[in-house]
Amino acid sequence: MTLEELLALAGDRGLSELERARARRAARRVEQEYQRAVSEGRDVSSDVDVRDPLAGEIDEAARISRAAQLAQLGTLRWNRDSGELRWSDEMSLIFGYPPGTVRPSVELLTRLVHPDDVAEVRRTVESAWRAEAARETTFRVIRPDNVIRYLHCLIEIVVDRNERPCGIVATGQDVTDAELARQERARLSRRRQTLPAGHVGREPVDELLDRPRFVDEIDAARRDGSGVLLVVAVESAGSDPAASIVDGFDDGELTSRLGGISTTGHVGGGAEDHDLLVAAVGTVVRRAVRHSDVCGVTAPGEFGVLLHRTTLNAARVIAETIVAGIRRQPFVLGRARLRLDAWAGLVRYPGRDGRRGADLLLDAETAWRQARAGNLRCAVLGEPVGTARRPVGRSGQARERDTGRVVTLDAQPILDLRVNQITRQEILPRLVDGGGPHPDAGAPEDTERGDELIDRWVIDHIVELVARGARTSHYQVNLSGRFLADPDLLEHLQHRLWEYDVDPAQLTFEITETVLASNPTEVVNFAYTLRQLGCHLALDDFGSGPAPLSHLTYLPLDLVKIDGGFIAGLPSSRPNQLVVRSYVEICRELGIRTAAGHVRDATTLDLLREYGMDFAQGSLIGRPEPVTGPHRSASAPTARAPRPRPTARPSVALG
Amino acid sequence: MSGGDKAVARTDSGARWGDRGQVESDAGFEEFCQQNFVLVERFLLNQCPDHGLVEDAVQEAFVTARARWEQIRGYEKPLAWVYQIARHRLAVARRRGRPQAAPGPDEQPGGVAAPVRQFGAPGGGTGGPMTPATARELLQGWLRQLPPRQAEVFTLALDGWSDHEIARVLGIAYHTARTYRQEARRRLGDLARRDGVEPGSGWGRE
Repeated sequence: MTLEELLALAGDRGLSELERARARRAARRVEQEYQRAVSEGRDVSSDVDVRDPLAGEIDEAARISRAAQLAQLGTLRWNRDSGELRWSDEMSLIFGYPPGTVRPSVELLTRLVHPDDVAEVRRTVESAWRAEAARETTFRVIRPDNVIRYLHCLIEIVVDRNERPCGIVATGQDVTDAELARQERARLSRRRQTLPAGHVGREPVDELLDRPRFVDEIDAARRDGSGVLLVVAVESAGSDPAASIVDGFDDGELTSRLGGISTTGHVGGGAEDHDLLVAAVGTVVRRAVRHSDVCGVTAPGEFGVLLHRTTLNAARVIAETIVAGIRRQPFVLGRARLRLDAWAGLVRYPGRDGRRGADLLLDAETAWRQARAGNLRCAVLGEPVGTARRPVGRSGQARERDTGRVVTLDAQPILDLRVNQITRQEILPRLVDGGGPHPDAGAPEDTERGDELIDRWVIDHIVELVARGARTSHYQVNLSGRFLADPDLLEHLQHRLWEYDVDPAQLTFEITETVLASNPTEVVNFAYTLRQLGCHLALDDFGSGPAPLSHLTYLPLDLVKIDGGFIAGLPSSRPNQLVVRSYVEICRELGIRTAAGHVRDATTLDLLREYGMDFAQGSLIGRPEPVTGPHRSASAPTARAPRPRPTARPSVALG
Repeated sequence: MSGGDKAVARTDSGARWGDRGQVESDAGFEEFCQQNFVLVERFLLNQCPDHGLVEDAVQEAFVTARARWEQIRGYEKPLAWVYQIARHRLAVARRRGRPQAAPGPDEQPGGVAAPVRQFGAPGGGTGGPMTPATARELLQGWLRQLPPRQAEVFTLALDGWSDHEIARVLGIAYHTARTYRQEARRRLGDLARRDGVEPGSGWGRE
């Protein structure tokens, strides 16, 4: 068969018997839904343009603009005869101007486009005009407040009534979020290629595992951090009239085939159908989860998904998506179409010392049964600690027992140079004088224990801060050498992340070259464990010690903060400029992002931008400010000792 | 393929309410819905693999059409209006979905070949005669590897709509509809060749 013949066949508009039956049902559902809307007084067509798309409006540019407006896209129109440029209100907002406040012109547009992208945009537009063909392009615009946004445009040539080109229309939308996500995927892919093998985690498993292998995977994942185990159970939707659409089967036969998936796995000659159904449901499950998530068939009609390093809220969204997908999608078995019902059960696992994989699976199975009994889409076994049950008795400051000093948290803004916006903050724990030494000061072991408690206090507060902040914000925290040497602290962090249902990827922990030099083995172990938790890792003061580049080859770094010595005085030092520029280039190739501190003047910032540095921090961007806000006011008004918890070893009171 | 319209076989033209547009009553709407629901669904499935989202979008579009039937029934091709609404409904549903699930507008979903033969299709697997359903399935796998706008243009062209009509339904320029249809056809030729379908040669490995 040739492609032409295949296309002719595919273009056949005829409906099969099965499709005709489905169309009849669809028409009934449409009518029911319409009548319901009418009886509820809902207007289902208030947001549509009722004009005939095929009639009226000869002017192409006006027609395209109107369609774009309905689709919430912006448009730019250039008319060849008048040379006039116009843009829509939507486009004006994308450019950062309230509609009607500026007069559109080619000059203004050229100024708005990022200088590095101007030439490419010009080339694309000229090529579209010459070829009289559409072109698509993504470029950056710089708004009047200096914020950078990514804009995707379809550039089209419009014609007059004689079909001669008479202008250009660009239809555009802000794609900044999608573009940044794409860049991050590309970075991680580079990182995977440049890190030594064996340290980047297990290979994703594509197939649907059986129960024993799936349990093994849970246990392996448990050793590797926290996450959520999801079990989705599928059964025949039973007597639902919409489900009993059969073409060539009677209901009894259909039910027995469905029984294959819900009960015994293989019924009579339906074994093949059962496999098809498992594959079909498996497809729905796979589509909702990440490529790296392990999936299995844990029992007939039951699917397990290991959502490693996923927060409960995110897992719940995935579970809802899967259940909704299974319930609304008709499944095809030969010539029969089935409707399935589904429920999801979720259970969180905290990591190393939690329950065994087999027990967790039983827990998740209990959860989906609870969902079915409660007529819910999904149920969670052991809900997360609610606000009322959250660890109590911590204030905005911790008083170090022996010295009378007080710890507070400061936050310093970090500028993301790709978009010129503050997208993350560095959290700086600070010791301040709290009213003279404590009378009992002195014993060295007490002091050490006090330091340890302060570390825990800092972790608790940072995690709480992240939990209360926006899901999209990111926090960087500097770690002391003590932290690295104490495996309990890392475990403590893991528990806190779990307890507050915080996405570990919102946190970057920084280690300094000095700490690295003093105990490389400990640091490497720590680094890999931290990455396994899902947190990001940064190397601070990069370039201050000997042979800094070697660290990039074996540490699983996400970010490098170039030593302030190179940045302060950058504009006047040619050698520093060369060093910083090459550090940035090397890191970019390795999939590591770069940051510069000590940025005090605009000239330095411009240079960093030119080099392609990702982040800038310093007095020019913003000074550290004490952390205030809800997480403080929600804390207890007086300093009290943390309640001893199973994982919190020391019981020494603070303050 | 110069002038994609003529390369497209228009079979069963009697099934097209869009061509006739004369309807007497609510019963007219029911018939319109029955004859076109699956066609609109096929159109959206070529760009979105989520069957559930597509079905919801098509149902919403027809419910909207039901509400405005008095107005749109008199159009020369009411189906064009439904296509437009269905596309819009799907776009809204996809925007509401998880951000990582929706690729950017210029990002082609899935870099590698999608499995084109799925379960349950008559004649699926190796060999067997090609039916309209299997041909559509194969084509769907290829179309999802094209830039989304090109896939849309090509699907409508295959469905028998003219370039002018396509431009109006999709809200794009006439020139764009024409060049995208040609570009999509060229790319489909490449994908087909990769999968062993040659113009003039036999089907698959038979």
